[in-house]
Amino acid sequence: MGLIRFRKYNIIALLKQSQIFRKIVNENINCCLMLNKVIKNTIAHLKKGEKGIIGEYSTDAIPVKLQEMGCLPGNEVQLIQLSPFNDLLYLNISGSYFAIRRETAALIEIAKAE
Amino acid sequence: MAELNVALIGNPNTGKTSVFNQLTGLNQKVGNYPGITVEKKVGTCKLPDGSKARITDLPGTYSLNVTSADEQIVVQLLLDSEPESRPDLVVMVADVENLKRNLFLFTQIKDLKIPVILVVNMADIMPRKGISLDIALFEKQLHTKIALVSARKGTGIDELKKLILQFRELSVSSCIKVTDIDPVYFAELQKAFPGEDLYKLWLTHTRESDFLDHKNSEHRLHDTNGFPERSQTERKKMQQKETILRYLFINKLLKEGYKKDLAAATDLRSRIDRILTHRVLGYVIFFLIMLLVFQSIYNWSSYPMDFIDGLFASMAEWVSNTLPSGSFTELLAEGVIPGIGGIVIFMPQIAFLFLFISILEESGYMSRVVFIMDRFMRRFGLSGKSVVPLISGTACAIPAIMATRTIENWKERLITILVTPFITCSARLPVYLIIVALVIPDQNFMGLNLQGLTLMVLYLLGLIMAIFSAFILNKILKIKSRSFFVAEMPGYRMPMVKNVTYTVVEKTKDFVVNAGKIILAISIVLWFLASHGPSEQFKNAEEIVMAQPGNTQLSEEERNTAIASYKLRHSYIGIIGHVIEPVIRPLGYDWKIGIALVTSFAAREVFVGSLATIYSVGTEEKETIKTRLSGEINEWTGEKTFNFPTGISLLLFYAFAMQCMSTLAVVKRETYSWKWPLIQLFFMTGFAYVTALLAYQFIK
Repeated sequence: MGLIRFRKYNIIALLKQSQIFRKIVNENINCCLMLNKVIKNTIAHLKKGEKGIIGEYSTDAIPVKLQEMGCLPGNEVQLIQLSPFNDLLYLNISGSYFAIRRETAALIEIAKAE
Repeated sequence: MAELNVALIGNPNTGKTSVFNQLTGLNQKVGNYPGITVEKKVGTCKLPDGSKARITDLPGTYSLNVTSADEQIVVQLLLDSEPESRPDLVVMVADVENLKRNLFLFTQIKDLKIPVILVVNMADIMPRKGISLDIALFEKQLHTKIALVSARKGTGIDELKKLILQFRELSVSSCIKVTDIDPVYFAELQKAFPGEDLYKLWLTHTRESDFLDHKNSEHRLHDTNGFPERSQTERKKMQQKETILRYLFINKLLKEGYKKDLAAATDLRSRIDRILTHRVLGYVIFFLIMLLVFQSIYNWSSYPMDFIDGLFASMAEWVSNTLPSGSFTELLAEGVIPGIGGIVIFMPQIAFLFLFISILEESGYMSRVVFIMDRFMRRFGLSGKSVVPLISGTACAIPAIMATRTIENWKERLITILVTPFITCSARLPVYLIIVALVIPDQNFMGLNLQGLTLMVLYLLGLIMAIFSAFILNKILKIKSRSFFVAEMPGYRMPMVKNVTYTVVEKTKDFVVNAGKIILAISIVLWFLASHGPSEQFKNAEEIVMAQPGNTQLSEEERNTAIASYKLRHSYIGIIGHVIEPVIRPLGYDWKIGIALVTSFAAREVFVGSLATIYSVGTEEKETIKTRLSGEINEWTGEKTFNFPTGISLLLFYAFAMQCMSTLAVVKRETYSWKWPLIQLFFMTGFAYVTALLAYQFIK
């Protein structure tokens, strides 16, 4: 499990760097998905204080307003604070501070930054 | 030349209202009450050349893509309204710390081809935050003029006024090319609607109406002119493309012309956040703040209130002693003065409430309350954002219901609108205060004042009822609307004295003037009805009373009282009162209370004024309202009219009943149908009747 997670991070880094590896990467992701269905990092997986880079998401599920607040692929997101009962996530997305519900956050994939 | 029509637009929390206050001073009108149904603040601003500009303060909005009812208002004004009421000029207020997001809206407004001035507010913090701005570059790239303003310090306002005056020189070119979003789509769109502006077409085609009741929401552009409309999914993809395009433009500009020293910026904010949104401390602080608010409303405002009560009593006495006796003097002393007194008396409380609410909002604390309360509120079908209306509801349900516009989800918004009137508003206060003073002993119980405790219970009762009905409504209402929630967490700011003062003055004035008008009219009508009668019995009251056996031995004072009450019984009001008495007698009320109940349907606070008017007709001394009521005897039971069971029954009735026409009107306006206000009326008043009935019958 730990190994697979480790590989996933590398995969995303590679994806950003080069087109050549894309095929291999896709195979790897498929492989990962088959092995373990839950490997997916979203904003909801961030820990307090952690940062990540927003990846692609389905525009259908995400309110336009959220995009307008700066929630766009490639932007940096940081989890500032969790509300009591961990329901709301207080985020800083490239200088814009706002809170969204966990269910929405779980739809936005990210790559965690170190 | 006609007055220049200026619209003030901006993101929430950018100090837009402060700029508005600086521009207009106290020359502003807020339409908070129906009858004068204006939803926007309008003020006049004197320009350097002596001409005047009419400034409209629009609700804060993040974008022209409509996703909430507040944004709907803004877009409606810019797009749909009659050409002559469309603004000549937009002044867009941006916060220097959040320029990126603020410019997003700016580029959208630019695409409407209306002249725009960009106001960069809070310019005073730039040196402290290490921010530098290349104004010349910004003006060139954004095709606009920029005013660096600090609404807090009052700097830059004169420059802004000069720019407003020269608005004709402004360029109306756009920042981005709208057709870049999807050239094919836009070509089709243009073909289907030749001659129309593309961006406006695009806005109307992508307008969401999830926050509205679908069936009743206003028309969308369904007339497609044979235009092959794309699916919702594709449209949303295009919207994302649009957003990205705009941010690309903005980021490039900011990179070239905006420098910020990041180290200085976030520290204080995160430290305060850590405390205020802490999972235990956060709630404790919220509770303590609420406690402080209510404490001040009761304890601190009781002094000015006693003073006002006494003042009006002695004023009435002075009038009736000084002016020559006659029906005009009677009208003044028995109708007008007690009626007005009944409303002025709770000015201090309204002022305190709005003082606290505006401080909480201005400081940025309210957003933290939203943050910590969302989970709890969602269980009852409400949103964290419902906290703001529910708290404002303690002042008045009308602004509170208008404050629900920020809730994105229609179901959550509707439930909030429906339950807010249960919250104890300030109009209930005079009713509560007078009845509590009459029936609850002024003693301490375990160190707490019993009267204060009763008031607290009444507040809790309202809150519990609101939450309970929200819970029920959440189960019953079958409304499918997409649930999402985005709440901005603004930075902390010291509330501006000017803004707070304006809010307090405006709201208190509004309240006194608008409620005062109704109360004045009702008092006069009541007084007339109470001092005139149709029958011979009324006219000959004196002889009839004197002729009754046993009345001859009475002292003069007792005789006068007997005559007065006989007269009142046979006056118009007495006759009406006796007709409705059977309905309300099971609740422990006599016909005089019944009259007050009916008249206070217009507004709860009328109750006290009505009682004051009814009871003061015919009496010689002008006592305070309280002593007058406490001496009143029920003619059926022979006991005091305001005894414990009747008092409790009245308190419960006012806690639950929908006794406010203005609220009904505002609910109608916000829900676009009479269905919801009528349901509210019947449910609330029915529930109030049953509870009051049960309470009276049990205690009696």
